[in-house]
Amino acid sequence: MNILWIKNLSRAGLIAGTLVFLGILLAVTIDMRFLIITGLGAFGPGFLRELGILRDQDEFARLANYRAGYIASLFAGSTAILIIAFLKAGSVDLEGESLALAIILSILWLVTVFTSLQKFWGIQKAVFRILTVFGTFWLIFILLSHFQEPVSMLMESLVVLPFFLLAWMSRRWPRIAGAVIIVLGIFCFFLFRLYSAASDEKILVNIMVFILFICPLLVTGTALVALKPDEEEIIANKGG
Amino acid sequence: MKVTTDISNALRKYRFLSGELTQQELANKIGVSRQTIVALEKGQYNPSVALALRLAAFFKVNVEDLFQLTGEDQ
Repeated sequence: MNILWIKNLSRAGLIAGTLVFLGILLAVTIDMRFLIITGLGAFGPGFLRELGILRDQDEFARLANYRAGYIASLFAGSTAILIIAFLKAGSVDLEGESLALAIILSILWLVTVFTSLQKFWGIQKAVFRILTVFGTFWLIFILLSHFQEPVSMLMESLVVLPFFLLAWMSRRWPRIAGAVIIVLGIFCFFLFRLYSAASDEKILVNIMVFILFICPLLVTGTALVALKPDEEEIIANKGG
Repeated sequence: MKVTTDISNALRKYRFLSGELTQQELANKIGVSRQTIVALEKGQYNPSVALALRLAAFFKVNVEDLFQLTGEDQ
């Protein structure tokens, strides 16, 4: 058996592999919380590479990683959907394990959508379109659910207005819009009282709301605030 | 319009013309892994413009001498 490939393993790969093995060993013998060590080994290097801290791969290895990640997301996403569908067959509620899986699915989907939009359009255009689509869907929902109560329909429609305003601002004053979006996200976090939960189920619900609503705000806000000058679109000069 | 993305390369030829460099030696000089050179020579991977330019500069040839589009653009 040829074991020469072992010498080609990077130091990061060896450390990651050791952590994965150690984590699993401790998890199945002592406590499942040790799986966090496995998580550090499995996903830590990827995070460090994306942050530009770990530079142990050339372009071919990175391409292979990206391709693997894309295929993994397709398989993991479709598997999670199938499991939820079978676990909750005959029901219309998400709870327990199915809610936990839905959280993973939401993260997968949101990160995929945001990352691909950001890579394809650039941060400003992506944020503009995300906020516009989000606001439009919310508005349609309000119009459909309150069409027999014009006053409450009007009042609730006002809630959507900031999203369109922020979308417009994000093209012209991205950093200011980003800061406002972050503040809005933090405000909503406290408004929805996501920091307190009386039960495990409520914790999962709070996590779900955090991921679907607060996280997109914080991520888009941070992306706009961190926008580099050379990435900025100069809308005012284009007249658009 | 269909644009072909098939690219052939003369990497192997230039590697041997440059003193019969091994794949590992070339990889070390260019700053990539040996596996990248293997994939390039097999045509399994099309390099970035930056890597193509680095390879061309190393062999002191034009990029077109190293990499060529195969087939016809339609």
